[in-house]
Amino acid sequence: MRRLILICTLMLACSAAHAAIVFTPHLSEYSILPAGPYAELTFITTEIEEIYDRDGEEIELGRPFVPAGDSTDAALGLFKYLWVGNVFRDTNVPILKDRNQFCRGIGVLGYQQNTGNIAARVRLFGHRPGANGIGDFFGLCGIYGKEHRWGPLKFNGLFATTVKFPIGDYDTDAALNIGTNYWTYIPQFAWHAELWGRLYIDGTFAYQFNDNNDEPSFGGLTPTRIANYRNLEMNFAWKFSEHWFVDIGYSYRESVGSNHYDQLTVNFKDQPLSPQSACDNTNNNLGLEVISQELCDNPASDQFFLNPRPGPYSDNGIRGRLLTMGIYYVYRTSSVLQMRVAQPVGGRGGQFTATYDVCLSQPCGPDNSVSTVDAELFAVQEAGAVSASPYLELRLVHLFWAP
Amino acid sequence: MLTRNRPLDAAALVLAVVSLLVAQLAAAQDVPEPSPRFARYMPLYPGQYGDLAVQRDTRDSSFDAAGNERDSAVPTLPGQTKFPRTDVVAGLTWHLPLFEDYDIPFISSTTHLLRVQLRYADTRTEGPLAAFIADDSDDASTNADDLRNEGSGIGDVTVEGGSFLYGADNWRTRQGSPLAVLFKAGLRLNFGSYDRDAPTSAGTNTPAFHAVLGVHAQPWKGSFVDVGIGRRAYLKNQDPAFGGLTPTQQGDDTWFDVSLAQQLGGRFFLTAFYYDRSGDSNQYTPVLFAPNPPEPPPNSDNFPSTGIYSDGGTELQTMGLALDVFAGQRWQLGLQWTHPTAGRSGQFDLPYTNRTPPGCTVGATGCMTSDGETVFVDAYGPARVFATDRFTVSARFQFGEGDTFTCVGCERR
Repeated sequence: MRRLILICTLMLACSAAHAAIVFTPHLSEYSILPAGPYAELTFITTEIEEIYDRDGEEIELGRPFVPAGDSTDAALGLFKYLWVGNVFRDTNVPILKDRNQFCRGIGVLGYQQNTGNIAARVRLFGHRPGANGIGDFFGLCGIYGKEHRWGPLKFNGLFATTVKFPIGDYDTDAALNIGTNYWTYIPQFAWHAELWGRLYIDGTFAYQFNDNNDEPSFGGLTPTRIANYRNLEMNFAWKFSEHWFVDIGYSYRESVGSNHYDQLTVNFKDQPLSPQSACDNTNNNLGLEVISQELCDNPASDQFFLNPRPGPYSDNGIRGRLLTMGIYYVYRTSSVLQMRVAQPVGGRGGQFTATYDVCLSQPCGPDNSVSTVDAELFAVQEAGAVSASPYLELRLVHLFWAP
Repeated sequence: MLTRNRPLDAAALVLAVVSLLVAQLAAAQDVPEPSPRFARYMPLYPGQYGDLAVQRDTRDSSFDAAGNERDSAVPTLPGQTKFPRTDVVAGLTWHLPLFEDYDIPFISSTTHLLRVQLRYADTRTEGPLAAFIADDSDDASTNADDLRNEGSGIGDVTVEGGSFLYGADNWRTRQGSPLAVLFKAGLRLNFGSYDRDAPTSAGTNTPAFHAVLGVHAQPWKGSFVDVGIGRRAYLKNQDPAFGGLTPTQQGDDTWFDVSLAQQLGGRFFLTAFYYDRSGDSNQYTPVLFAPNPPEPPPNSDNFPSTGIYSDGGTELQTMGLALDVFAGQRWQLGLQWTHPTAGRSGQFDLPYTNRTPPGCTVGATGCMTSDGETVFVDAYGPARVFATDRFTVSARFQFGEGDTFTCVGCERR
């Protein structure tokens, strides 16, 4: 019995795809831009077939409880609007009067969907396998430093602070969500340099303060107390002509400490569970015998109920390393078209060991538990899961009105 | 040497604005079908064009699988079910030259277009189906639990790109061609709100690709004839809504549209149009429940049998009229009436499995199953074809041609 239940509750590695990529730097991302309004449309798509576990190993999504080959498909549309100017230009406010300011808003539309057997397995837990709609809104303002020149080198810095407003669509009964349901505050130092007018370097260090999420989704597999994160990113671009650029970048992020999970409820929707259900969820989907058919067929095994203990649980923190490569075409003086591929090169995902009570009657809990089992659970969504699959980014930047 | 063109005269500007954009994109029926707009395949002078439209459809009648008009959106359920829906559609189209300094054959000499279309939809379920959704008495024994009435919100996003194969090579001199050919292709991004437990939603959760070949002609003064054919292919919906009664795999669509517009004099244009879409067979799996299940035998309950089900495809023909008027040189206001003349919805036979005793765990000792009755069920989402008239009010705006970049509006001498 104990073995049966253990295998029933081991499950699910669903992921989400959009936290870090919103800020991954591009060509001249942090250069001092001419005053004016800029609009940007970015499309990102990925098919997540692998994620990182807590040991940094790549594992196929859904393994071992569904066959490999299914995925979490995700697409994001980012609508960015950037204003650059100086509202203090005609004042005597020190520092600000001779340094341009900027503000940016980022709206997100998204789609995330578990496919095939992974989606079917999510439904066993009474949850929705995907989500569509509006994401959280990112708003930031900042100030440019002055531009400095040193021989062939030209460089500047900036400081900005971003606030993530949790207005996005969020369903506590969904395995994936477009919104996150928690606030985030991100102070950020960034710099831009040009060498010989050919090599463009952009980099940033950002610290991400995450608020709590008191309504976790997917049965508590998203963290309630989310760790803060630190982000370090660098991008190197080479200018072939006024129109053509290529770049390569590196992005690193890691949590400061662990994510905590205080409201674990994820469980099979239809109970009691029969021994055959256990076999259906293991042997038949895996194609190999994890438990014996004899045990599955044994009427003496009877039926049983499961219930998780809510926590608190903790993961080992998350980490992600990403390599990016892209090509740019500058159309006239007003638009930039860009294509980029991002490849994860290392990471660590959220994972923790949860305790389930096994009962012969309901309500199931520690008071009438006949035994307990430990289950290895993967955290889901952007605060807990780290994708090991590449993504593609297409981007259009347009200067609406020439300065 | 590059010099700026002389300003457009009023007629030329009206023409440019008339031919603005947004021939509305072909889409699944749960999202309103397109209504052909005049001059939609005409090459425009480079610039950006915005469009805003509000559409209202009562959706209280539909076509069944045999092509008969029925007084309900869901004819297999007694009574009249309605799915009233209002859409707000916004589009931005950018006509532009590309690589004109590179002298790339064809690409450098013609014009191209990029388009993005956003949508918001307010929809709901009324009538007997709404009562079925609200009734939670069967939630414990069937999969029809936690159902929801609607999935209003933002709609899917459509992006398109295309090139004029003929008739746009004189764009610098503004010498319009009486004949033009446009090829465009696009992608529907399923970002729209999609409630997996509701029969109607703003979004579709189904990515799709389409290609269109259109011809524009001006056979006599003040006339605009546009004819197009298109094909749309759908990717799999990994999470079909409302218990799997929306298609998991939607059949490809092929459509044909034609419009004839005539300037009535001054600023008014009258358009007559026809649209014909044919959709291949849709597939459904897994189907988890139906609103009209068969009665189970005594001491039993039942559920839909596992399988992949198919309908006979869908069809829709519409015709309509549109009146457009130009307010100033930048605004175009329009009123459009679209009337369905024929159609077919998706319906299919759904066999049930009986389970004895009720609620037992299949596979457990003492839980027996047997073949049950078969019911004829309505398909939802893109498989529903409605028989109701639709009214559209639209406004279009031409953003300034005061070029955002220095070269457009110039001609080479």
